[in-house]
Amino acid sequence: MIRLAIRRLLLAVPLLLVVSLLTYVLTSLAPGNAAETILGSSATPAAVASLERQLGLTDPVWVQYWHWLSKALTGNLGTSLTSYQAVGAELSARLPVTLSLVIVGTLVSTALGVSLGMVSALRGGVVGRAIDALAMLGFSVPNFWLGLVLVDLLAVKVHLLPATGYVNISQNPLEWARFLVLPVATLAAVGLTGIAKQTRDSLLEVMGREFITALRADGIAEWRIVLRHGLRNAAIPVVTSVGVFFIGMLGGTVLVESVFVMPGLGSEAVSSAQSGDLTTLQGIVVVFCIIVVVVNLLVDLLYGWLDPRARVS
Amino acid sequence: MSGASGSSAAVMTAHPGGLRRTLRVLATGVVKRPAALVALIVLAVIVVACVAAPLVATQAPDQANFAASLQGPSMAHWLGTDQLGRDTLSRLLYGGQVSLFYAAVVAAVALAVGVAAGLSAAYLGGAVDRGIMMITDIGLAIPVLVVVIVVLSVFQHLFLVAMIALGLLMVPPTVRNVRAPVLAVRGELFIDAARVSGLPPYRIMIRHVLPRVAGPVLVQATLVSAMALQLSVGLAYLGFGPQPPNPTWGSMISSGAQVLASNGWLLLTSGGVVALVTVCLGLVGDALRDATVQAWTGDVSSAARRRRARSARRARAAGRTPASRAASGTAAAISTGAGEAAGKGLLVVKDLSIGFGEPGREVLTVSGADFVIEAAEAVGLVGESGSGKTSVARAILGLVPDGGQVTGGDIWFADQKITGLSGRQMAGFRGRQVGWVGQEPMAALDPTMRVGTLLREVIQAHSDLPRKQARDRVLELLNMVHFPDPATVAQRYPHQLSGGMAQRVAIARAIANGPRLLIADEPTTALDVNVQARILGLLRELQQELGMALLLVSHDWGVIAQVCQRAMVMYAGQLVEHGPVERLVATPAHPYTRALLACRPSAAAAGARLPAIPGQVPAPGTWPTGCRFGDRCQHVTPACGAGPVSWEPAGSSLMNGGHASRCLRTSELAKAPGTADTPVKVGRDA
Repeated sequence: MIRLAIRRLLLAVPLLLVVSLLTYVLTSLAPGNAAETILGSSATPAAVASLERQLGLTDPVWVQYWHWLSKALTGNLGTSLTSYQAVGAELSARLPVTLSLVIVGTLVSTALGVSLGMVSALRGGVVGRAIDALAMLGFSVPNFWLGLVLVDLLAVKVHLLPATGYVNISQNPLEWARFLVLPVATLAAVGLTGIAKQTRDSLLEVMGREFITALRADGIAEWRIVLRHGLRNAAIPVVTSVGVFFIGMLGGTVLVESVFVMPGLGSEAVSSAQSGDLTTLQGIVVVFCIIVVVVNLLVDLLYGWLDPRARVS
Repeated sequence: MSGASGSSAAVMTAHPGGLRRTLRVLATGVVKRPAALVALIVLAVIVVACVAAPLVATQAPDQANFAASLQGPSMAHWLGTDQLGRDTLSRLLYGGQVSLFYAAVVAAVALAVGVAAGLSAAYLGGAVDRGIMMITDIGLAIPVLVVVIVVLSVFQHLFLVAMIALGLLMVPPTVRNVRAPVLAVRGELFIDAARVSGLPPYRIMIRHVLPRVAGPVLVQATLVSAMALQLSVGLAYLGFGPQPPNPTWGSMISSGAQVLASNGWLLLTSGGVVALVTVCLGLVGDALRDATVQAWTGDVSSAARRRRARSARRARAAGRTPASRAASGTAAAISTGAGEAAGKGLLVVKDLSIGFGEPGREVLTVSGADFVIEAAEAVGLVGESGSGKTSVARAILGLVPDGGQVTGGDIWFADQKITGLSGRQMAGFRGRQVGWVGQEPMAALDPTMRVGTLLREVIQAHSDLPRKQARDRVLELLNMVHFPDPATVAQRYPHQLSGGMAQRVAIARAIANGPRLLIADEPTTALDVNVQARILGLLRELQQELGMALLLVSHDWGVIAQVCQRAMVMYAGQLVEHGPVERLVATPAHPYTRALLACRPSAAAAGARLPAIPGQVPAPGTWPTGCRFGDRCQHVTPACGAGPVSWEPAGSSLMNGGHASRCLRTSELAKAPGTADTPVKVGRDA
């Protein structure tokens, strides 16, 4: 179990290296470089050249990357090209917004998805078909579009919830929750229906297995068989899809934070890309990768907890 | 439909059909589903209309008319107009050119690279496979949208480059979904045959492997296209990609959002068309997936599996209150004792019939089963597979397999009628009064639960024993089934047990609540020969020590003879002979029993051909009215087919210990010596 976790962590090292190198090489290919972004288009070529030397942009790419990496390992992600703030500080201020969104989104979509999937598997019929149709719809409707419609219905037409913005949880937990309702609903729609479908298929498969019959022959109550044995075994593939949907939601924050004007990492990625702030963008990519690595590790640990057979390998 | 469904090696090595044939099967699968067919047509119409936009659209996409801004649908503007009075339908068509083109680019890149890499990884294996899979694993953890935004910020005006990058980021999931089916097909015999015949690898890949993965690739194509459309529309919404006045679906959603307060039409139509295309792709993908599964395994779709599960659920619900009492032949219970005996004997089964299918139109698999098991008596139930013996045994627990149900007759246990009990009452009966040991010891254990935890749950399901005592009882039970170190075994998970250990755990579990009847259904079939003997010995020992009755279901006379005093023989859903085991083995009265005994491998002379009963067991629903064994019987007479055959006592009814046979010629045949040259070893104290 611990060996598995360590192996997973070791695999994360090349991932972070590859991704950061890739983005670094990519950004060094950019036609306008950092010096031009900082000085603006009216700067003289001489001024640009001197700043380029100052920033080390005349060095070969791998030397620049090494400089960046050795600083990044100490937590220094450089200075923003547009706001001149430390990227690390800027991103850690924005991280809670994005984490609130994806963590609450994952909890909501998992709780509702698993319950819906369970009802669908045990009751079947109309509920099952309704969930199928909903899953198809949830997958098909662009989530930012759903967000726009929700804002119009629940924030603009009926003043039930705030349309845009964000309040820190430490400031006012109740307001934090109120501001999260619409963006989380937007973000969780895809995962919720997907998880419901996965739970239903998986639970139906498990409930048809021999050991369920054996438990019935033991005279164990049906609800207990479903909750204690069926669901636990069915959860193994469900955990995988929760991990997949989490990563999908993380990417989705780029759109959802823009729609709901939330000061998170996703909206920062969009504005950095538009202003050419490549240092900040680079930092965001690294932070996103670290989140993915952590989530994959949690998924693996959950696997081990759910399935004793996974602990040995 | 394919080689996979054949059972013989000759079929397996046959080429299962080329790419063209596969595509035909898949196309049929899609066209046969109305929803998928409609989706395909809608997709085709949208794509053609967008491509032909200059011909179809009523206006140029940038033709403004400020007098007619933000109108609803009308004859002039079917889908209304935007803030500049431009025709929404025309803009959707022109915008579709862009949005669909970019989606197609993404899908093409993802599929071209992904299929090539997936095929190579799976087919070539080794270092190539490991290398590709490592890159894939890393690729799967990359947050797609953010990286694409990086690419966009670098190549400011080259949206196409970003879309190619997006395509590359979608390669990893494609590799996974292609590699898995290739791995499956690689091990099949027809591929080996092709390799042995000297075909070069690329020819094998194209001619034999590609057809097999055509389905998964097409499914993946619909999935990737749908995701590509969504992502490219999302990026366009954020302001990346083609700039105004050129319309894209994403930028139209964006301008629709700006005017949402005054006019919702623009947002609805632009988002709607994206959703519509995605739904259609999803429906076609689902149909392809089902068609693929059917084409290659003959298996049914997940939807069909769900349907089957539903009807099974209904059948279980109906089974609790038998609606119809099927006529079940004249089961004149001469000497089975069941006729007069509701109230005598521990288990009384009377005129039991079991059927499958819709209520009212069931196909019977068991009919008119009558028998009694006395307390502490060991009874065998013998028959070939498919004779209905497992159905009978499971009916006692109210757990008829695979959607079957009790359609008639009654079962009494200790003077209580158990057919018709509610689900809750039945749960209190199972495990408490009747224990069950099944055929597959490993499959019967929850793989996620420790042996001790499972046993404790079984104990506590029927008693309020506190945790501590329950734990002691678990150790005691494990000791009773001869585990020298019960505490260690209790800590183990099922995958840490051998088959024989798992079966002993199953026995401990079955006797946990002191049942008065133990049902063991082929308990040794899945085990090694030397383990079989130990399990049988254990069953016999426990049955005697605990004074339980035992119903042992088996196809093996040796097993029955070692453990049971009495046996019943079943053929084609009907009991055909019953009596003391010694009598059945020495002087079998029914021609089927005689034939069955003659077919035992141990009865065959060395070097001689193993005898087999000619002909086949009639399938449920095709049983003749007369003797069901008639077609295969050496002793058949014209009278045998005339009508249902009732029980005849074999030998003097005072002396025969209840030996009876469902054969018109019982009295003649019972006197003739049995066909078994090698006597079956009978004896419970051997």
